[in-house]
Amino acid sequence: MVSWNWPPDFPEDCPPEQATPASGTYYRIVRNDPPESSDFVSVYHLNRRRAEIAIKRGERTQCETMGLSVYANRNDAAANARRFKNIGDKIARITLRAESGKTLKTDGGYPSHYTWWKEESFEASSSVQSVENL
Amino acid sequence: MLPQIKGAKVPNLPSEFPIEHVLCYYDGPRLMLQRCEDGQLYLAWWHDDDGAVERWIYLPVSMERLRAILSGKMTDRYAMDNPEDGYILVVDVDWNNAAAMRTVKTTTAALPQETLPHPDVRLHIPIPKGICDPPDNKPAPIPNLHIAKPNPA
Repeated sequence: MVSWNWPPDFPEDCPPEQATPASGTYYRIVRNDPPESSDFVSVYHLNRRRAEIAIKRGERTQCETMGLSVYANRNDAAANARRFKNIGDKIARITLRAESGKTLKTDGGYPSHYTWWKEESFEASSSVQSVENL
Repeated sequence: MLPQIKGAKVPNLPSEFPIEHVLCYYDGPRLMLQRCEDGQLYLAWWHDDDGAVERWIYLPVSMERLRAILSGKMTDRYAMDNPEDGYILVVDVDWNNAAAMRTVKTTTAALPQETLPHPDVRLHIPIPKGICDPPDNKPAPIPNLHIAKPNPA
């Protein structure tokens, strides 16, 4: 039985009840090869002000801004990286397991968009299988 | 600091400029559909960020153009490079107050080409419910359109 330690600033109901233990292969847009911890920072922790505005406008909940966007489909990740080039020009293939945290399929414009709530002590770079330069 | 963009400086978008839909989300909104008071629709692509200021590309669109872009019949890049009204707006948003701090009326030629969407990327997003044509389908009169309402004394 896996138990998770969430970052202390996560609200009580975060990750949401519907989120399930992470499992499988996902793709994340990154800037660095090998990826660094800075490639796995949520918008809430990267730019609190921006996250708060998104929350205030009703675009996202606080909990959602505390998660990381990942795709189950490589092509979706690549398409978005090629559309928004300043996000990053590399795709990291990552393998998540229950110890990594929880995931939930969330609306992101692509059907394979998921939000990943990373367990506090999980070292994200250890989940990286490979990095593809676009 | 984000590089300056050549173009005509125009009045900023009002901070209450409503977001109709977030069409693409990746660690934050990346593509939004917004509508001005007069009904003019804008597609807004996230473009860059320096931690304090975010840069967006606003493209005024007709319903026909919006359909073509969202359905993937027209690429993002073609739409940006060939705006119906002849211009795009590059909007810098200051996150300290969530307000536009600089708006430049320009074309994609003024932006670093390597930072623009790749020419072959296409969206495949259904038209959001409740979106319909602007009342008269005329191009947006920029100088008057974006002046925020004065606060009541």
